[in-house]
Amino acid sequence: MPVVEASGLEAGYLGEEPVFSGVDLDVGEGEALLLLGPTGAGKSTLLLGLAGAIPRLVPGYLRGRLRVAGLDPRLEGLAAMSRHLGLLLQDPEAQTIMFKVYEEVYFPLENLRYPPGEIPRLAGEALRRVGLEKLWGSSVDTLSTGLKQRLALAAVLAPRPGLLLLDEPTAHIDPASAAEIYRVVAGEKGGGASAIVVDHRVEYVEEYVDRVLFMSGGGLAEAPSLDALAERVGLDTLLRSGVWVPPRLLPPRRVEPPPRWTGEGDVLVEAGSLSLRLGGRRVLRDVSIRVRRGEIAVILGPNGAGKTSLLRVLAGVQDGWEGSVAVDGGPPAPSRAVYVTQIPEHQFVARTVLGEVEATYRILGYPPPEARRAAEELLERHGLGGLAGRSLYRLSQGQKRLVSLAAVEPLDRRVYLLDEPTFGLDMRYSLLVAREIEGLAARGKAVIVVTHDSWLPAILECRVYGLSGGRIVYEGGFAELLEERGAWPQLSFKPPPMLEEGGAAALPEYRARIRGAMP
Amino acid sequence: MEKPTTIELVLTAVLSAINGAIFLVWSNFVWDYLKLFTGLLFLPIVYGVWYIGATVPAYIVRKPGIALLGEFLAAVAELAYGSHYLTAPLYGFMQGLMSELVFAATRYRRWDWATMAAAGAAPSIWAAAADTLLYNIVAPLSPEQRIIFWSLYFISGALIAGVLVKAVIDAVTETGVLDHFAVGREARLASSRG
Amino acid sequence: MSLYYEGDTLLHRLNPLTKLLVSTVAVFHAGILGTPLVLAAHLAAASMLVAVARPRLNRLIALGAAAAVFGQWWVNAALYHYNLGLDWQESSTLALLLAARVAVIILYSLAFVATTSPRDLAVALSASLHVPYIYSFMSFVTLRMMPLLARDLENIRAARLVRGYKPPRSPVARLASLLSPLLAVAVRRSVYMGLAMEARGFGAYPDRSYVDPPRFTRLDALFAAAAAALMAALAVAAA
Repeated sequence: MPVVEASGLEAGYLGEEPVFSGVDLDVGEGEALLLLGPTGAGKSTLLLGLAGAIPRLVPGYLRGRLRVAGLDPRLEGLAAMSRHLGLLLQDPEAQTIMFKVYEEVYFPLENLRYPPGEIPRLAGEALRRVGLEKLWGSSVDTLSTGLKQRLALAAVLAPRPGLLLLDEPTAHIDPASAAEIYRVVAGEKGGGASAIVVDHRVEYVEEYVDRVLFMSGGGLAEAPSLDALAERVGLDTLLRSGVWVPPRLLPPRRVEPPPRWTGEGDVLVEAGSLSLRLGGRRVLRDVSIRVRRGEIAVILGPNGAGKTSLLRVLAGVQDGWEGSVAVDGGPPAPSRAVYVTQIPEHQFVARTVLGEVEATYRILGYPPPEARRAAEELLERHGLGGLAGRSLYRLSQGQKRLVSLAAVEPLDRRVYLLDEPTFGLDMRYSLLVAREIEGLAARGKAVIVVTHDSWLPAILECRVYGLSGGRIVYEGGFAELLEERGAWPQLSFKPPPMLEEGGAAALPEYRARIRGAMP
Repeated sequence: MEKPTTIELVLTAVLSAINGAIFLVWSNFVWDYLKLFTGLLFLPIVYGVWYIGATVPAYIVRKPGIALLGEFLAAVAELAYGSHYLTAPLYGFMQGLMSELVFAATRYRRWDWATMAAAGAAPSIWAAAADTLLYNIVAPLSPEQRIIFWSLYFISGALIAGVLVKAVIDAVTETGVLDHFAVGREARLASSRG
Repeated sequence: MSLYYEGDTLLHRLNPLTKLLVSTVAVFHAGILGTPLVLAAHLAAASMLVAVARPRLNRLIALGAAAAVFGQWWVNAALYHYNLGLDWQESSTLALLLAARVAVIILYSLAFVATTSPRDLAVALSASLHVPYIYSFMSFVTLRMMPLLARDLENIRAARLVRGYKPPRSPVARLASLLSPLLAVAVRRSVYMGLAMEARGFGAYPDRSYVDPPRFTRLDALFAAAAAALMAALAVAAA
């Protein structure tokens, strides 16, 4: 029996135009589908619709013929449908509700009224399937985000649903955990479950799927593989939709080398034997880094390694450290560096995009009319002029990120500290951000980037620091890191598949292909 | 009357985490130290802050049960953060109930300044009575002073938990942050009509 | 709860509802009767319970509680004296009674919070009192969100500090400016968490199973009976 039968589906949110229409979809048992498309095309809406969240939980409309596991999700609602399907979302923090690992897996089983005597056994099985059985009694808040996501997956798998719906499950986690998640999903598929996956990072998932669907302009195109899809809709369409097209499909283009800083290379950030204790815990131990003008330093490492704490110390917003730290010629202070937070909303102070940039000029002392003019010019220069009047909080994630970078530019400081600047972004926006970072370095800034995205240091000219357990465990170039596999586990490091196989030798080609795709 | 969705309940719980923190600062610091400056008589002018657990989520979600749940959870959060006062959850429940009754009386349809002021003042019915009974807080005051003292509970509630809350949430609604909820939807309807 | 710790004291082994009922009744009992004898008895009883509970206090909390009690005494004594014109001796004594009430509440509070897990309380409310679990379980959400929101607020503060941002003067605009980013993140998490909870069957049925709910034992009956007896005796003595 087909697990999903849908024809003529049309959906949208309250009082708005349909997000998609005329969608036909059939999914059989044991089939896995990859759903791609630009932001706003309706991929999440489709998954939520299939799951039964629309209209009972999320106000909106869903028309057409729809049967999932033989039921109409619109009538059943998401809670009732959870017996038959599992929905995994992107933010692990927002999906873990309980305090202990086993409680998290008990939660769905208890909600669905499984007999109390059976629940511990089923919970144990679910944890075993995701490889977390050893953490049974651990506290959830001691887990890294990657592990939290695996726990969320365990909770979703506990009732043994026949259909898995995954909406960008790897957006917030490191590549190693992402690969784990899909290994588990493949295992479930082997056991007869079906899956529909939405994910920009196609490289982790393409080997497990039977079909690829592309959603855009209201309709749905289908192909048996990503390569076939690229042929059908065109590579450019895929790139413009933000999909992380695997390098093998990208033509190696002759691109100009990125602009470089040619001035004085004085050291702008220097930390020696930096140590930090937070709440009784040693968060940083004996950390030494040095970044010059025009240099990009990328800090890699697992969650909880201290990367954000390091940035905060350098930004001058964290006290209690020991050792020596000099930022732009003096001790760290809030006025010395530019600190861009992981979540763009955290730094928003205004209501509109223009207002946000204007606010910075006003802080610098520009009177209102000049501040406004300068802000307009800056937005134009960054290609964001069209967004000037838009409300900040209604922008897409990628737009928010670009605005957050533009809004601090007028501060004109020489040190930039960026915390996960490509967090949650698709390929197109990620590459735009990468280009912004290069631009900053080219203008003579010292840029320090914290990231768990391994493709970023691959395409930038940068120095890599690996931070693990508060200590610097690696320092060198990215190419060298590719050859030092022994260092990878403690950094939770996993390079893109092409580099994992080909090593440093594959790096020039990887760069050529990815950089060629830069918008 | 629509029942709150899971998302709306979760939002209430999340707002209560924020409000609970505010309550804690208010209980453990502001209330005790302000006493030294204003003396006891005018102290209740700040009391209204302790009712925002009810009015903030109710004004955003506009459905039954939210004021009660919100105020109760905010009090639970306050206790969890380290407040000294075990009575907080009981106060939270009763204060939330008073606000809830005001909103219920308007059938959850009127969200203007008057309704908010009334819903902000209503919890004082419990608070003033319980403080007097349990803590005997008015013991050192003369009868005339007691009238002023108790009145301030209501005035503070109306101004802080009613008027100020409405003003601030209206301002936040303009940013689009609250689009998913009743307050945002109604704002957009109003602006598209006007 | 910040003060709660897993342990095996007598109080830990009591059902959360028993503790809730007894402590609430005790607080009202102390408040309504209010005589020196009653307050002294409650102080003794509450102190004993705190000793049994063995809470782990940090200095800040202990200091805050002591300051609250002392402040009550001092401020009320001053009020009795200056406001009602009583002499210092009488003012001091009457104020001591008021301070004692606060101390009683704080002590019962401590004994309860240190030995009661919020999870057990939420489960007990639903499993035993049949409070719809979709409400009582929201307490988990609140407790889970607290540290996350604290981190958000800290990041917002840090970002503004670095930028040199000065908030607008009007209190409404100031609050709105601080709340907008905080609420934006809170709303996003709420939507995801609401979806995640329903995706785990939350609300599918009016009731649910419990693997290990708090039970009522003989200990609960004994404890409640002892408390009732003591309070009845005190009520008679105070009459």
